[in-house]
Amino acid sequence: MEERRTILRTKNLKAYYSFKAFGIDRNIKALDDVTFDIYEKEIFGIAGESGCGKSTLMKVLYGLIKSPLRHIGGDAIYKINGNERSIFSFDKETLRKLRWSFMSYIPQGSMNILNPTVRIKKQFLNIIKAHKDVVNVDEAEDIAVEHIKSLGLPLEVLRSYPHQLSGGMRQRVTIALATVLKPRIIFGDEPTTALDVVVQRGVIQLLKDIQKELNNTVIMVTHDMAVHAELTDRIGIMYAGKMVEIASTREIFKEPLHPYTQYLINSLPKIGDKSEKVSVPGAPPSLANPPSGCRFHPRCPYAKQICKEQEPTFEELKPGHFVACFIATKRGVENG
Amino acid sequence: MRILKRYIIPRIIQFFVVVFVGITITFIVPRFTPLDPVQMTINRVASYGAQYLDAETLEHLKQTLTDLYGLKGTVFEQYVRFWDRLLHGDFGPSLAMFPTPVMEVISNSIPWTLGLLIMSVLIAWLIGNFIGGIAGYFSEKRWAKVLSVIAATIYPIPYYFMALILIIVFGYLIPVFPIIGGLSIGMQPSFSFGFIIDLIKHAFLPSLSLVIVGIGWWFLSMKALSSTTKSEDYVQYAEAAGIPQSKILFGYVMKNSLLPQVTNLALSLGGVFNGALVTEYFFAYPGIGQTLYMAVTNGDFNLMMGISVFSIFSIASAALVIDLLYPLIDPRVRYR
Repeated sequence: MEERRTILRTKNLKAYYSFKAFGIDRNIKALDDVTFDIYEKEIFGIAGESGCGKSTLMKVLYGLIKSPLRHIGGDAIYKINGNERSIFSFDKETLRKLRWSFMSYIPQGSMNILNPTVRIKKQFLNIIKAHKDVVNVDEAEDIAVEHIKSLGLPLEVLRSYPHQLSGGMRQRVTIALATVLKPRIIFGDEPTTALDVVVQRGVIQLLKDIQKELNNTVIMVTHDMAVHAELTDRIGIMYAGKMVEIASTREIFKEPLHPYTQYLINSLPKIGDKSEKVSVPGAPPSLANPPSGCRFHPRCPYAKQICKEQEPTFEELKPGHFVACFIATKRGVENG
Repeated sequence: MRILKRYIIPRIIQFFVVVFVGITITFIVPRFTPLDPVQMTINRVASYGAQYLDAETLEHLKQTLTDLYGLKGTVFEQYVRFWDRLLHGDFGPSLAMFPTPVMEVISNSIPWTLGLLIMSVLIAWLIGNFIGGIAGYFSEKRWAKVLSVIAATIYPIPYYFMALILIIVFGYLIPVFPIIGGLSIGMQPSFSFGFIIDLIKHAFLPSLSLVIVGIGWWFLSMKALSSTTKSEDYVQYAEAAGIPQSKILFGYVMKNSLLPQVTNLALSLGGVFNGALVTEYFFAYPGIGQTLYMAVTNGDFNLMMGISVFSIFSIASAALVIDLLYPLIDPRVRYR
């Protein structure tokens, strides 16, 4: 196995949504103490239920922190052309230039992210001209045409307005827009949600092809475990604003260590398996006032006293397999 | 050709229906008034001293006037003759300025109104939308809030009240602008520098009173529109894509918020033919509003009818033109 080089490291990253209601400050701890590494040339998936902090993590990593979201502590360090730089160290203009050329972003399929009164071609040109010192319009146009061709999309889309395209085609155009400047990192925020499975399959294939072609990193947020199984190399499981488990996709599906991950995997339908599926008991906790100790303990069937009192640390139980759970750690020690 | 059949022809038909119905109503309504224009004229003639008209002359005069006013025969016969005359551009003579034809009175006063009001509406539209669009995009900024407060204070002021203030300030306290008429007495229309300056000087105050109030309205509506557009997905996306702020402001926010404002502009321009009655009255501006005022106070039915028909026709035309132009502005309308 070739040596893996990190492209992004986060260290104890914390970001809260702060509100002031009736004179009392309220903090929604959407992201609390998240530490992980992302390697070059991998597809990293982030999974978890709604409201677990997936999208917040993406916003923070992409530098889109806007009030009421606030960065509280920790760091996210990118390796850009060999230099390590914190995302929080950039000024506005540097950040603007980094976007799309170094890292780009694919939003949800259901969002209307294309300007309704402007042809797709113009939208490509706007992005190209914003980031590249192209001499004239023709040059920028060539880049757009070349890119659309290389992705195997019909050239007519360039002449179209957004409302003339189908939902699937619009999402493909979004992916094409995100990759036109060959970024090193692509963030996907539920890019396949709101598409039917046939279109989903095509979009996933397109993403895979692009990743192979550009040889870059894709960070993919989705709650859809099937998409993760199909697309990702490694998965991070989030629960209530924390990263609870990170491992290779194969291991997550074969041998999940955290009780929450186990529930998540066991709830997936398997061919030939007719047993009843068990859902996670209870509801996700409020992030304004999360439970003490391990945040999963109120719903965990194995919870012990220690889980209620102390927060588990994020430990590497096997090479490349991290988990934050006392039970799993103990079991690991006994077995090891 | 499909666009001609499905888009253009239905709208032209609609235009004729609107004009027809409107003019018919204009024909019917005056016939419900208790006033008898023939009797009114005879009374007026009588009051000038011709008390002792013999019965035969009086009857003869009545016949002539009834014919002149288009009141001969049954209502249906009158209606047919009304259309016949209308299509020949004949509204009969003005009663107050007998025997000048209504057409001539209108065509003498309409250039004044068109010049004054179209300029005022356009200036107010351009300035109001420009500032409003920017203020809506930067709606959290302090200066934007200050501007809104100012606009909200100005906009409810009736434009005639504004006219009075301007007359007092610039006509009386600091007498820099003339407050009466469209031109200095004795000034002959020509393309000389002096004439144009005189024209602008006379139009300045009436125009200013309309522009100030107009800006307030356009500002507020445009600000509301653009601050909504600002939170649209495609604007957020353009920001995430690192497109420069000025491009986002004009190419994304302004462009899309202006669409409804174009419709409003067309309707305002159509309404111009009614004249700004009170403004023209205050400044003794020789436009159509002043003429309408005179027609109403003198019971000049022919002139009132003429002006009404004119304004129905012009509002309907403005709406038609904007309807036909809309597909060029908003691509989403094109293929419906």
